[in-house]
Amino acid sequence: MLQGKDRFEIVGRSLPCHKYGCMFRLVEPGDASFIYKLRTDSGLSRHVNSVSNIVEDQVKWIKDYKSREANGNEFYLISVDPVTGSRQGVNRLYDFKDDSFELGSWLYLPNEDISKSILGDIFAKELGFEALGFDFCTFNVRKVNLSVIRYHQGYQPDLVSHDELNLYFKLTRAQFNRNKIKYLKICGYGENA
Amino acid sequence: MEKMLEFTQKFKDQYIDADTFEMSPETEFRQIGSWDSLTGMAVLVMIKDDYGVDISTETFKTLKTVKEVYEMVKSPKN
Repeated sequence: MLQGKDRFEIVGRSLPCHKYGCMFRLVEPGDASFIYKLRTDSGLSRHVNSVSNIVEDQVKWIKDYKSREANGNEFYLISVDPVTGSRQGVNRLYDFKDDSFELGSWLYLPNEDISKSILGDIFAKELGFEALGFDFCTFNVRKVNLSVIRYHQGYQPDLVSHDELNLYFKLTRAQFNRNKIKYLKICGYGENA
Repeated sequence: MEKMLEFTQKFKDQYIDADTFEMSPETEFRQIGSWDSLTGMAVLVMIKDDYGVDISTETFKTLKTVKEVYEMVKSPKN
């Protein structure tokens, strides 16, 4: 298993990264207003944990996150349009175990092309599986978030458990690699993207 | 016609509330209340899985009715 400093080094070498027509980098405190906007959007925030209603708390959260990042315990990605520089959305990898990572915080601007959101999700998974070498990832989805559940099921993950609120999934590297191709193609990227 | 109706049913099944509305080939599918961009992605995946046809999100944006999508599936140009 990679140690935290190794993970930090690998991610540091991998990012920023231009891929799938986007630029991916690690979140910085200067991104707080954008993330706050995402997390308080009435449509998007229905299915995520609530946040404090002031931007300053988001800045503090990111500053705390940066020390978890430096220890290689969590990586919060932001997708930026490489031409305009505008921020598009975020993904987060955390809770690293011997052979797995947790995926979460998948939020993209509602008026963005859905491809950006899908490609951001794929990039985050590639970072976990390919760059960091994990064998599987876990994630949970609110039971009421049906269209997101349907999207994730397109990768044929295993449903591990459920509770009153959430479904808990496990997705292996093989399941991901087998199924990401169709999404990449739909999003305008061929099999060798 | 039968194949188009079968396609329309499969298209409808991609909505999270498919059993609550009617759909015909002439339906403007984005006008259905529960439509969202992930429903669109589910439709494109269904087309890929069931018909072996790739329609890009860019092309899909130009299509309004179920029938227009079906015509694209029958004769893909992209």
